[in-house]
Amino acid sequence: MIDFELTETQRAVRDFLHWVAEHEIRPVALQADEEGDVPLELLRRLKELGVTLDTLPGGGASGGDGEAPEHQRNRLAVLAAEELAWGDAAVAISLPGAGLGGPPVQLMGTPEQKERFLGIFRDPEPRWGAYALTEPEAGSDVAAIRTTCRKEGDHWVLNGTKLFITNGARASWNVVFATIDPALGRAGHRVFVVERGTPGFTVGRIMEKMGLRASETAELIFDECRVPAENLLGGEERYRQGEGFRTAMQTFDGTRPMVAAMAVGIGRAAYEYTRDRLREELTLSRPIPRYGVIAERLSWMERELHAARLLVWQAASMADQRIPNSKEASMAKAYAGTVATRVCAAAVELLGAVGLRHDRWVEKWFRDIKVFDIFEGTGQVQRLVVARRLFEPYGLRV
Amino acid sequence: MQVDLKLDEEQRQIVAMVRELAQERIAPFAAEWDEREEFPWPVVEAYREAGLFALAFPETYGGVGASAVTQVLVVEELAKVDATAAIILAVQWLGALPILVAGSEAQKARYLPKLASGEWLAAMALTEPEAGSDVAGLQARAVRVDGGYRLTGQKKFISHGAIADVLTTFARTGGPGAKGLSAFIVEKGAPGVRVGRIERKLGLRASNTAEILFDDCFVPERHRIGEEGEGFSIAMRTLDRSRPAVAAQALGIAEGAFAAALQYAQERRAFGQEIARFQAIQFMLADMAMGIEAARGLVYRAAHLVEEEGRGGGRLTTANRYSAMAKCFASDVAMQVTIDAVQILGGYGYIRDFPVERFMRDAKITQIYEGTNQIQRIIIARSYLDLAPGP
Ligand SMILES: Cc1cc2nc3c(=O)[nH]c(=O)nc-3n(C[C@H](O)[C@H](O)[C@H](O)COP(=O)(O)OP(=O)(O)OC[C@H]3O[C@@H](n4cnc5c(N)ncnc54)[C@H](O)[C@@H]3O)c2cc1C
Ligand SMILES: Cc1cc2nc3c(=O)[nH]c(=O)nc-3n(C[C@H](O)[C@H](O)[C@H](O)COP(=O)(O)OP(=O)(O)OC[C@H]3O[C@@H](n4cnc5c(N)ncnc54)[C@H](O)[C@@H]3O)c2cc1C
Repeated sequence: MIDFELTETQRAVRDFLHWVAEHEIRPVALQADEEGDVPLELLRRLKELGVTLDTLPGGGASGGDGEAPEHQRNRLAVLAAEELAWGDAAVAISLPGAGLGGPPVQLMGTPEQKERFLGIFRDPEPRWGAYALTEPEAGSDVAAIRTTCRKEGDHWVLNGTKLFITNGARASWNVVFATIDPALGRAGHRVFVVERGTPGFTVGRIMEKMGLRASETAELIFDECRVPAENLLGGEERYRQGEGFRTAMQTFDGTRPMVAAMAVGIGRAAYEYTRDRLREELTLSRPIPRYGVIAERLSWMERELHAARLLVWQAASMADQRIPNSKEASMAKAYAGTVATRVCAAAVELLGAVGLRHDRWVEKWFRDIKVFDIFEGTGQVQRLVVARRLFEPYGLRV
Repeated sequence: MQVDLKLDEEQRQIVAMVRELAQERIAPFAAEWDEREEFPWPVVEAYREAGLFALAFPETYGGVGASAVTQVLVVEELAKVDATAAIILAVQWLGALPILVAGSEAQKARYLPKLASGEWLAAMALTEPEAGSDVAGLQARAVRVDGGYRLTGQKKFISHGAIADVLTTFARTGGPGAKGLSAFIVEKGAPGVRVGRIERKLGLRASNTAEILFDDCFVPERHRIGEEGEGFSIAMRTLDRSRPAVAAQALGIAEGAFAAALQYAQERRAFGQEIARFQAIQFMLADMAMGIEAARGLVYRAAHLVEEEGRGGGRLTTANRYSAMAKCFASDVAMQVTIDAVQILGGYGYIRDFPVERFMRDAKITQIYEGTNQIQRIIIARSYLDLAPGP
């Protein structure tokens, strides 16, 4: 069944979040970018309004999302992601909540763990969870992580470094992927929830980035870090068949469409700004007609973003119907990341010098967008995932 | 990457000298200048010491009289490490060009030697808030008064606008359209000139980009360049000659990013091998290299034509087609190459520890200034078309 009409609920969510994006997020976004931090005030206010990451991704990770009908959760999530990123992507990924850390807890946690780790988000104060997989020497190659864990009595001892962890420093806890023995590859992976203040866990550098500057990207250091045994997600039983790695991967099926939706949101912001600005300009008389080029570039932007959005909606809709969607999720991510980057580049160009100015939005969107082709699996990795789905049925290995 | 055009001995020496200077006095500091958005005076000092400013000036005025090809080689070499540093040279030459192509003997004698030594810095102020691509639509006015003119108007996005000692600028002395414009020299500190906002930008962040406000600024008659009404022509003759240098900046940025990506791809390992072994990476590198080589051919060819056709101060024809191609193509290549370089570095490409994100931010500007790439395409198409003036 193909139905492009949004339901009443979907429209309401979209319209509400658009309002939030326009009236709450936009007014602080440029300043937040400049200062390299999202003001806590805004995040508190958003939490009051019920806008947290938990109302979005791969499904209400920390509970509290009772209203969202189960069968349209992913579609709601991508609509929300697009609107919030239209407001500001750095703010969107800094929203309070379990974030990317939610799905692994949800997927693997025991009922007791879910309550312990996700329960804290019921608190009116903003809190964060984070997802710490990437290491200095292991990004795309997840199986190559080198952070080790060894059991000592009723604790696990972690050693290693995680890099590029979104909200990792401010998080109440991080979902940390480690290995009992690098030689075991995927089968050796264990997934822990490491709480802030755990002895041996420190925050290293906060990275200075090209864009998404208001978002915190942290280095996390584990030095003989002693994690209580009950923080091993799901308990030891669960790890017999490489469950840790599978969880790392499964998380992505839900989150990739969201990240792709954010890319569409940024691209759309750049497109709309350019269109409105040029519409004003076109009314001024100019000796050299330029409508032809501008009309073509603008309609190209709209076309590409629209195609990307439809891929995103399809991937989300499949997830809602519990149809395996790895291929579609990766197609959406690869496509959206690429075209949104081009759209933002074109927006800068179309506006001339104004597009480069630091106090105007488009230069920021141009800086923000590039990472959407990098994190949550690079464009190349997405293409690999798609290729595997295409060729493996024929017995070909990619 | 090797320069495969045949350079003469002198060019080889100059390029080697510039490369060393770039490595020692620019590369180690470029990231910090960018971060602080501070104009890098040490670069100006280094160029003065090395005599680089002199390259583009005739020997009669204390210059070296290096060819246009040598000039682009130098700009390219500098842009490989830092585009902001590269344009310090390019802007000096741009600012001097109106005087070179149309200045009087007295003007040349007064300004060119000090600009060649770098004692004075120059800027060229053409763009206005309402007239960027549309040069004929400039609105700044120069009203004739006893002994000269009074200038009123606003110039925007002027490289080195706030630090230049000598400003070559354009204003309307006559009626609307191209024929009403004249060119002037305004010296630093002239009453009635004020520096407005300094732009903060996506890239070239350490470069000084300023707004200049003329408020009833007196310019003596002897500071008019060429005849009244010749301004548009002087602006075009200037841009005819300066475009290869912008193309060279773009080329250098692309080469810098390519070199960084190439090195990284051979060091970074994933899935048990260097990422350079993946076809996805190899294809990106191959496309980058093809673009760079093709751009290089165009840039050197354009410079060569400017050299041949550009003696004397007249308008260029054949050279313009190739300068426009070089500028447009090289800057589009630079954009794609730098985006892909960030991609090859993955997460590391996005953070400030590596230079590729800076290259990507800097590349964008080369598609825009000194005539946007849309304007270059129009120039190229028209150079082939045989159309009567349109409606
Ligand atoms: C702003 C930001 C926020 C982030 N947030 C988080 C977070 O919250 N949690 C977290 O765990 N991580 C996070 N990351 C890390 C991110 O997920 C990784 O950067 C990403 O997975 C890429 O890994 P890498 O940087 O190590 O690149 P690499 O894996 O080293 O890749 C380098 C290049 O090689 C290519 N490549 C790699 N393998 C192949 C292959 N098999 N075939 C073809 N090409 C290949 C890649 O596409 C890329 O172009 C974040 C990164 C950034 C920049
Ligand atoms: C860092 C920086 C340094 C600069 N330094 C200098 C300097 O030293 N001196 C100086 O004088 N200026 C300088 N400029 C200004 C620069 O040259 C102008 O920004 C440029 O010429 C474009 O003008 P604009 O910004 O007004 O864009 P506009 O002319 O308003 O153009 C906006 C968009 O419309 C497109 N367009 C315009 N006309 C047409 C047409 N006929 N057909 C199709 N498309 C068209 C353009 O390509 C562009 O995409 C600088 C700018 C920057 C950003």
